[in-house]
This record gives sequence, structure tokens and C-alpha cells, in this order.
Amino acid sequence: MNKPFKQAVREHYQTQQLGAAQLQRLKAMQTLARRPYRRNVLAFAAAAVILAAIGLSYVANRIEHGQIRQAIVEEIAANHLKNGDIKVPTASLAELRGNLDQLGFFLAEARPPHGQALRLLGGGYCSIQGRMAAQLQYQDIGAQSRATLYQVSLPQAWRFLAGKPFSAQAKGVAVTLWVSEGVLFALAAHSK
Amino acid sequence: MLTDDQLNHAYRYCLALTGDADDAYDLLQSGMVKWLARPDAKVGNPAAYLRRLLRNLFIDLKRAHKPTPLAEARPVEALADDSGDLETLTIRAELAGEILAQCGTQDRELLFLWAVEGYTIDEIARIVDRPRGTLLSRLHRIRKRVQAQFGNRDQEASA
Repeated sequence: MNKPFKQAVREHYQTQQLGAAQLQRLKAMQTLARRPYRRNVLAFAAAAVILAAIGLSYVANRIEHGQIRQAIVEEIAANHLKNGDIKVPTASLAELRGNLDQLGFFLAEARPPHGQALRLLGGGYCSIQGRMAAQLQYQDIGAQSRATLYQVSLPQAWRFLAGKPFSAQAKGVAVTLWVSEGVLFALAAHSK
Repeated sequence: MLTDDQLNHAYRYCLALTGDADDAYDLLQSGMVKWLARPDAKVGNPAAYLRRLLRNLFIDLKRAHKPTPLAEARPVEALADDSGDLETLTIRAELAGEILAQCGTQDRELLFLWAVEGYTIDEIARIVDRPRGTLLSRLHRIRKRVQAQFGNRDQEASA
């Protein structure tokens, strides 16, 4: 049967259709394409939870670090105030090194961050937060007073103390903490 | 989300471009991947947007296989509007597929846009970015070819 060319072409194309399986696949593509949005939302929510957890952990760490630092400062101040006998009286750091050989680190010269001029009087073993430490007694030449310097090997949990020196007051004692070459130094002196 | 009708319509356009059912589906699938990769794009007419995307993709694919883009082989002379003549041409309905199979990509696309989409020659010229005269020349050649190749068989059938 003859038909107008235009109509025949149109009707021919109308008979051409996607198979059911092909249609299904194309529709599935569209559905899947929407899921990334949902996935993005979930990823964003997960990222927010992780960030919040990191934030909380950071705050908890800060609180814990503050507590550790405060405990060290208070113990240093208390030790300084005890003003016990000097177990090894000597002005020689080399002699002191020979006597305090159980520390696990090399006893260092006192280089206080505030540049005080100190004269060594002697020293001995002590403990800071249960860790073996060295207690070195000095004469603060400028202030004409006694100063005590503690040195203790820096454990992993105290690594946060590295960085800028930290100064605080406890029991009327000025305590300065600083870290150098894996050793925590704590200088205690009477507050001015 | 495109409906079944819109997907089938897009598939027919792909068929007009490729002339092969499998290639048409492949082209449509590739086009959908590109289309769906930009879900946020504000598209007023998704079907028209998809058609343009499919056309560009088809041309890109052709370029990947041929060093030269689709272009006119012969210079085009100014012709009278032959679309009217083609409107009056009649054929045996079952020959439409055979005629289209013998057409090149550009002629098939032209016939699809003209017969299925119902665009005027001026509108098609804008869609395919070709001069109106070029399209008229093509319609003229299609008519002559259809008459020459299929006119006799038409007469034989009606005898």
C-alpha cells in the first residue's frame, strides 16, 4: 500500500524501539546516577562525624595534656620546696655525670630559656611522675637564690611538651618546662 | 529522569545517525553516561539537550575514526524548496526501511528531523548547523534517488 514518503518514514521509525532489557539498563543508569548524590550525602555525614571525633579527641588531648603539665609543674614545685640535702655536692657537671649514670641519657648543661646565670652546687637522683630523673641544684647568681633543675628522659606521652618553653606558678615557685634533644628540663625557682 | 518514550525517541535519533541498531544503542548509552554525569545542569528541554549531546558525541566518534569531519562532498547550488515535492512523494510503506538503509548519515538525520520531529528546513538548518541550500540540495537528491531506485518497484507492485 502506497503512503506519503514522509508518513512512511515516520511510521518506520515508530516501529523501532529499544528492547525491554535495553530500556531497563538505561533506566537503571538513571537511577544509579542519582545515588552518587545520596552517597555524597552519606560521605559528607561520615566526614562530619570523623571531623567531630577528631575535634573531640583534640579537645580531650588538650585537657589531658594540660593535666599532665600541671601535675609535673606541681611535683617540680613540691620537690624544689623540700630543699633536701644535696646528695652529690659538686660544682663539676662531669663529676655529676659520673655519679648519675642510671638516667639513660647524658646529663646536659643547664641552658635556661630565660638566660639566668646559674652556678652548679650539686645534684642527685629523684623522680618526676614516677620516672627516674636528675635533680641539679644551682645558685641563681642574678637573683641570689636557689634554683633546681630537673632532667628526665621524655616519654612518648609527654611529647606535646616539645616546642615553646612553658612557664607556670605553683606553690609560690616559678617553674619553666622546655624540651631539648629528647630530655625534659624543668627549672624551679622562687617567684620574685 | 527520561521516560520510556523519551528514551525510545532518543534511540530512534541514534538509529538515524548510525543506521545500525547496535551502534544506535551504544551511542545512546554513551550519551546517557555523559548526560548523567552532569545531573545538576539546568536543562529546560532534556530531550532536545540529549539530542544535541548525542549528535555531538556521534560527530566526535566519527572524527575519531576518520581524519576529516562530516562535510559536504559537493558544492551546493541554490535550489528551490524541495521539501514540498518530497511531501507529495508516495512509496510503498514497507520500503521506508530499505530506503533509509541506503541513505548516508546526513540524509538519514535530515529525514528523521523532517519526518519524525516535524521540523521545517529552516529549523533543521539551525539544528545541524548547515546552510538551508545544502539541505534542500540533499532533499532533491533523496527524491531523485527514491524515484529512480524505488519508483520502478513501486509501479511493478501496483501493476
